[in-house]
Amino acid sequence: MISRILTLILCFSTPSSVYASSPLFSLVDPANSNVQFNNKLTESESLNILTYEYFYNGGGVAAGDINNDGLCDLIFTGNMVSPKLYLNKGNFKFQDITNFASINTTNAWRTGVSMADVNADGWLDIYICKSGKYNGALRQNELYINNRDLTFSESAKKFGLADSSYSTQAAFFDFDKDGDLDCYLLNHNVQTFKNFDIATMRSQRDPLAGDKLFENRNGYFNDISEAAGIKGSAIGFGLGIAIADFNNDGWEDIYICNDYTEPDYLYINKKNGTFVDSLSFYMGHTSQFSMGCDAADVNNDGLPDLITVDMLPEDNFRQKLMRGPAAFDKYQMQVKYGYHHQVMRNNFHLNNGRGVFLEIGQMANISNTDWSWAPLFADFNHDGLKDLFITNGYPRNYINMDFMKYTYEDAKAIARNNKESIKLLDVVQQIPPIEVANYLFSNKNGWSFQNISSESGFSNPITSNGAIYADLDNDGDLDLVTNNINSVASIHQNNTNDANFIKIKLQSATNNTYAYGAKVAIENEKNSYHLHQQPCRGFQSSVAPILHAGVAPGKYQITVTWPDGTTQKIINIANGSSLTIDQDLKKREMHLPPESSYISFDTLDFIHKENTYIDFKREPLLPHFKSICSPHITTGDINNDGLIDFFITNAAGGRSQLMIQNKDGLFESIDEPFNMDSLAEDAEAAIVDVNHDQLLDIIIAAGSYEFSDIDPRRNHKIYVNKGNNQFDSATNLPTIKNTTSSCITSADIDRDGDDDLFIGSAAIPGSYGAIPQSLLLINDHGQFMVDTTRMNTLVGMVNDAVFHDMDCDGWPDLIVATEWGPIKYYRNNHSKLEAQEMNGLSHLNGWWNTIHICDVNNDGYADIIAGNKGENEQWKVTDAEPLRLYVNDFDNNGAIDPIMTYYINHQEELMPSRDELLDQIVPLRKKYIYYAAYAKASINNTFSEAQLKNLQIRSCNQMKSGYFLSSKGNTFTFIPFSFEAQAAPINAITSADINGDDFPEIIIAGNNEHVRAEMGRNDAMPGYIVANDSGALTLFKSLNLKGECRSLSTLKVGKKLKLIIGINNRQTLSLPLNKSLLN
Amino acid sequence: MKNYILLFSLCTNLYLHASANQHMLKANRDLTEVIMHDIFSPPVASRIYAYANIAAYETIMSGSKQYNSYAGQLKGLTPHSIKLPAAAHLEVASLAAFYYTAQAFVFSEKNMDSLLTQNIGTIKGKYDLDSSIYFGKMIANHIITWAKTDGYITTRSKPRYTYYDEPGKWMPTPPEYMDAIEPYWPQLRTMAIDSASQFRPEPPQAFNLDNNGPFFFLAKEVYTIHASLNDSLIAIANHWDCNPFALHPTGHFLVSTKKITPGGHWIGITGVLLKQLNANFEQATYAFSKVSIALFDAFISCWDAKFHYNYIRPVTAITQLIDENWKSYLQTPPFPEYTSGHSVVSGAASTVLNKIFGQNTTFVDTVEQDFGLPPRKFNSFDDAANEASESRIIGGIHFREAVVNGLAQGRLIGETINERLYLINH
Repeated sequence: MISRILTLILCFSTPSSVYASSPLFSLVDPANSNVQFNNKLTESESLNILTYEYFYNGGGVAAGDINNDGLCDLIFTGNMVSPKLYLNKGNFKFQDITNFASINTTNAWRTGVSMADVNADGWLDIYICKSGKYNGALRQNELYINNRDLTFSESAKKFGLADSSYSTQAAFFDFDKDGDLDCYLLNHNVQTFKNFDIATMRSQRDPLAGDKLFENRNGYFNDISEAAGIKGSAIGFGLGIAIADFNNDGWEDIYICNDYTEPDYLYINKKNGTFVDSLSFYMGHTSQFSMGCDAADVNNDGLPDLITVDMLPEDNFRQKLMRGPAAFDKYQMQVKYGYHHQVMRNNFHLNNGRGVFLEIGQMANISNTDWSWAPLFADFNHDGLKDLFITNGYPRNYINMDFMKYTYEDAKAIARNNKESIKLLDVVQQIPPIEVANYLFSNKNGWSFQNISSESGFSNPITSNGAIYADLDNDGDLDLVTNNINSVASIHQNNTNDANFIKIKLQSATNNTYAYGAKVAIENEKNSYHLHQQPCRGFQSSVAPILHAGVAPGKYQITVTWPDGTTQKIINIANGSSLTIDQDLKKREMHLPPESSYISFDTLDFIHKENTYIDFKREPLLPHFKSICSPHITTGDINNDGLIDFFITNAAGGRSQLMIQNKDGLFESIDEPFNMDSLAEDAEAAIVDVNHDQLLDIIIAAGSYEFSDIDPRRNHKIYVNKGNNQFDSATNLPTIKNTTSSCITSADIDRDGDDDLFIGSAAIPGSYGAIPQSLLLINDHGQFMVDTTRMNTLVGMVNDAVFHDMDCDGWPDLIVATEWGPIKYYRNNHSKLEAQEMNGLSHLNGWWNTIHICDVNNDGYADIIAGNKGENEQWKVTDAEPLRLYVNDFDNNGAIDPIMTYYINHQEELMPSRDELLDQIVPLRKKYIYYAAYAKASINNTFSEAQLKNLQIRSCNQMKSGYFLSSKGNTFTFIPFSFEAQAAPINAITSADINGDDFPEIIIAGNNEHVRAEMGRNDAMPGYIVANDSGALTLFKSLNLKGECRSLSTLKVGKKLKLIIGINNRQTLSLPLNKSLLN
Repeated sequence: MKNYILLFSLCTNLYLHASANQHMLKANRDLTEVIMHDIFSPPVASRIYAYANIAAYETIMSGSKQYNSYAGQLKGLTPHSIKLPAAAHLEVASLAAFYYTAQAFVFSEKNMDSLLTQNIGTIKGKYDLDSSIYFGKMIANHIITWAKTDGYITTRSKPRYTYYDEPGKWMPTPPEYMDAIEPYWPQLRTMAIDSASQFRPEPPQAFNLDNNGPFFFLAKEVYTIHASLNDSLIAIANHWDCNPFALHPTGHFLVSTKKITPGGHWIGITGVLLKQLNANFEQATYAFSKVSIALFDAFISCWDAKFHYNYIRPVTAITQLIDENWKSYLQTPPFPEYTSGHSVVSGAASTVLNKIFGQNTTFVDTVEQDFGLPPRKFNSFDDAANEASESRIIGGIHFREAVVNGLAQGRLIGETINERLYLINH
């Protein structure tokens, strides 16, 4: 009791102490700073959102010291107003020198701005991009060469950069390591394309809309796009660019954000002057309407991570206004036509090395920041971890289904009644803006973030686009500047007051004077921080080319890897230092990055083939498919030759196979008679000697979600082993009508000398959320009899089950993993399986996918390793705010309507969109004509008391995977895995002592590719070998697996232990397990 | 010959109820506005028109010796045993039946009460409002109960349509790639024709990629017409567009435009004729109900063909075969191509109108005038139906076969209705 009070006091005291100190940022008064730039947009008949779709994308801002006085100056671009150049006079005072400096841009639609020393004289030049439906001459981008006297000369033509594409932004970088700056010009189109089937057009270059790469040859920029492999199609809508060495091979790669349908590009530098777009190899999915992006090392492991921002709002109300019908078919078509997997939310790709990026934006709490433009990673609070700033907002909130469906036509109907007419533009101009405060997230631990916007000085709703960070007052911390629409630009002063930083200016000896592309590592025994010199970041903007790291107090060694690959070390740099590092050509050392080591798998002669059945057609509100239940691997010595064989199951339409191990350690497939039953959906096999003939028989639990009630393929079946790898054709076993099974497990539960079976039912097809009957089959002299006396088979929605003697009493107990329920423990009390309330086990409801039993801590009692849904989702669950499923036939039409809810900002909200719910429960169409009404819907205000009468509610309060340590089989302690293992569902677990210390290593894998289109694929689970350090599971070694892994198994091949990996819709893999995997 | 008799009978009644038809015209116009607002697909809209107009007719004929009930003539409709209150005003009751029936089907049901009040507010004379409304409501309930057994409700919980990913089969179309609507509509009970498949046309031309093949010829025709669009062709396409929900995406900006459905257009034409002939209330309910029955059966029959053949749309075929940047002039609605919905319903409605008003009735179609389109003059209902069909090729959303065979399919439905429904005693 005392400890509880104490916790309470702590809870209350923490926030007050936070509020007591001044906020991290405070807004500088424009009257004091003299920065009065305002990106004012004036809608007219000829120029508005209807005539120009990027009318509201906003302007950019660039920072850099244009007069080399040590103070960072600023330039803002305006779409319809002239740019403004401000000279930094110190102490947040600026002087508008636009006119004096001769920055006179032509009157086209100005977009992004960059600073770079293009002519290699040591002075920063300015490049301004332009777009809009103007004649090409007006739209030519402009290059302002610094005359070193606060004036500039427009010289784009002379340098070959007077391009008249529809440009978003230019990034200067040295892609070919020849010591000068090349230029990637990010472009977009000015008209929309909606047809997916346009392969020819996508393969052709559009001279105005396609992106371009310019190679700098002796000071002149040559368009080498085509030769360099840069895509330039008319449907590229480039809005963001991030340049970094994504594959860590020492060469600059390029990430491009594309709006709309066209997927993003990840151009890997081939080191020969060309690039290859390798997006789908590196990333399982991306943002859909990708806007700005930033690449930086977020977890201090030396590898660049990436964020791309999108449009998903944080609050339920705006989400529900945005979301229409389920669009699974559209999504699948998009994938089929080569647009990769895209999902509308910010994506945070954690670079896992070895060619794998794990998208964990939801788990990291940064996926929903509304209509967002510029993300910027930098350490604003000097805790050594880069934080995240995101600008957002939009002047007209028309991403609103009510607007799309009703507003214009309703206005027309009224006008019709009054014999008037109305123009769409009039209606558009009535739409209010999306004004949301910009977001500031504090990086907590390298991968997860906390929203600290409001307490850090960002609570003002405003529409912001381009943004930069820079230390404007040279006090050692990074200030923030945003370019706002219809509002004066904001300068946010950073109030951090400490010396926990190191600032570095790089001076290269080459024509790339500011060393764009250099990598800097700041390291000591305890810490390491990594920076990359590339000012073009966020959206249409470029930050100051001064590197800044927040560091823990101490002395550091700084290693600069110059763009040419040479390294240079400086030692004994204390925190609080600002230093300039000149490239010392005499002291240079060639540094080659280590070759990435890839794990190489062997392939086995079994390709799993999933069918195209779409569960959502039958149950539109399902959270995920229930028809996916294979492949599943079961091992046994089928032919008594001392070598372990295995059986692997396949989906309806694919053949399950028996794989016989031969003397050479290879596996040979036995097809008959299993190929006779390839139309059945085999979930899992049990390999047991049913009839005491010393030959192992094969029993199959049938998955049957997609079959009708009377379909014979619903039956479980047995293949009786005749010896010599010959089997009788299948005979049916008792089967429960109207359920689909997930698993089968066997044990002699009545200790009569033969194996009995438990077959777990996953669901009642068509009635997700209802509890199906599972099946206990007792072996009576080779005949299986349904038994309902030994256990209550209404177990739950069963995903996995294992018999194991947990309490070491000689009777095998049954452990069952359930969905929307706990891991259940059925204690075998002299052949009766009695459900036990088990401390540490029974109160944790999740979407338990799989369990594996082994003794993790070698205490003689088996522990439970359990795979759950994971935490990389829109929801976070707690006991007080669980995930819920409301199960009822609300509209009395004979079909169960499963309605999922989760908490957003402490409010329980419905998962389905208005259209999805109304598709399921037709009578609600009268109640929720408007999306705004539905956006306030809850279970209680949607249904009457009568409708809620027979309601069943299921809930989940634990979505983490982990392990349950057994205390003598009586109580359990749940220990969640660390964050890597929570990034996606775990479907498969096995164990083996890989390092010979007698403690079993755990191997986990998963992912889910069969999910709702708007939720997107779960693909951040590359599979891990988890080292067991005397009973503690801590170290996670990635296997870099791709796809939805459903089953893992280990078996001896010769003397070696092999891991067999069963992946849905892919080839089966194997991997020798040895110690080196743990290094 | 029969037509002349009918026209004659219309004329003889004129002086009795001068412009009394305005109430039924307004009722149908009100319903059209609500259907547009709520965005009902064409088949679902036809169901609302049908039940509401039948309810109005069944009410008004309660006091008529001239007109026969639909009970016993339409599948599953039994005679009602509701007694007509002595003080009831039949026209008021009939309007009440119309609006209350419609209310059960539309989403914006609250509007219906005030629209009814507005409509009966202009009816002069002394009558008992309560008993009139009561009677109309009772008839409405009778019709709604009947409607509940037409299979609509059970189709709501059927699996959603999965498109066939095969050459020549329908797949979702740009710009929004919406799922196909109402795949189970053929499972609805028809009213007058035998079954959904009674008039199922021959299969359409087999899809193939051969540049000289017959399929290519069909696609090429649509492509060629599209390439030579002129003002007069565009006027035809626009006039008969009748797409209740077209999306117009400009980047992230999405706005929809709504038009009356093909059924709504023919209801409108019926209204134009009733006004032109100054028909009375009974005649109006008779004409509206019969046309709406034709529309209802026509959609079921057409949807039977659509989801039997699951045929490819021109936009999918032409982008595959001829020009990948091709866009149809009209937006392609989200369901399979063969046969053309507008052709089937135009064929059915025009054939029924021929019988009601006479084969060579000239009229000016002002239905789209309120929606900003000019009126079009037609020499006959058949002419109008022909043009409506042709508009689908001009608009680039159908091949010729769907239009020719669809029109024939619709006319067979219309003739069947003309033969089977015996409503006027002569």
